[in-house]
Amino acid sequence: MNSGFRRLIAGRSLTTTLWRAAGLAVITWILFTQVLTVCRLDGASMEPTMRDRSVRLVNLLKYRTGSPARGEVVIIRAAGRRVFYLKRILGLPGETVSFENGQLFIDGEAHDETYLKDQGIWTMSPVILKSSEYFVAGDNRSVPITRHLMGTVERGRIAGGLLW
Amino acid sequence: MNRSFQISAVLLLTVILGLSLAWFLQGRDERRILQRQEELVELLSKTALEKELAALTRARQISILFTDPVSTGMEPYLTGSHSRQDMAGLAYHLRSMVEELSIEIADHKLEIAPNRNSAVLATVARAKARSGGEWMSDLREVEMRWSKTDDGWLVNAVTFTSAIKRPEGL
Repeated sequence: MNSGFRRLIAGRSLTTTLWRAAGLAVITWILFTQVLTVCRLDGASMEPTMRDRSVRLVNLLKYRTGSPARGEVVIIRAAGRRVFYLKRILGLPGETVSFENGQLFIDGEAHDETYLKDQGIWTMSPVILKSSEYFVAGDNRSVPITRHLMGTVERGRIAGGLLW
Repeated sequence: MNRSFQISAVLLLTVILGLSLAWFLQGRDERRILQRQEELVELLSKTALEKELAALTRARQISILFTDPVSTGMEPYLTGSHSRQDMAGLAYHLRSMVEELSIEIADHKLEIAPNRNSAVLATVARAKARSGGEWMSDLREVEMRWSKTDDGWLVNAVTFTSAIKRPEGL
């Protein structure tokens, strides 16, 4: 234990030390359940932007006040509390999203995805998003569209945004 | 007894009481459903050395964890209403398609109805299977609806769900 940490935790008596340790445990618990969470990627959906098994930090407060914007990477809550999907926002509520030979179209207009290394050859008929829906996909467009988990997600399922 | 020792003892007692309370609050029904789920996961798993008779026995044991009939919505594998006998046959058939199979529940959320007679268990399951010498892996959200019967908690519906809805036709 380094001296700074020891000075922070250790009190003049056992009581003080215990109270400080308990306080630190509570603060850490709040920080890593309500504010930040550490995720380890499992799968190649976001490659090559994010490598399989890489570790990322997520800001759980990011969309408490604002809304996700196009191009942002978000985490989407699956069933339960610990498993998330990591995807990029492509379409916003009310928009119409489609793909033609790898090119993304929003409301019929071509939209460049500068974050992609390989645009791929995805083709998808127009999808009209409801007022509470976003369209998400991973960056790995080399995977056939039928084998890539992409599509619409409810706003309430978006749990946070990527910090790094 | 000095004051520091007393406070330490109180803190330790609080932790023990907290853990006991969490165990108590989880409830008997919750524990039984989760135990049945573990049993189902264990029965579905398969090792390379499994014998034919063991496969048949497991298929029958799997089927009795379901109500008769049971509703399934697991496209493209299994949809519709099935009798317990159908479930035994399907379990045997699906398990025979792979040489090895392991299932891990990565996450779950259990909600029991106020009348304590039915429950919904939403899970995230990761399956790893070896077929034709090649390993495949799949992560799925699975929703199981449970009913309390004379034979304990049984699954009366199984559905694949997903937070991300794939566009129709893809």
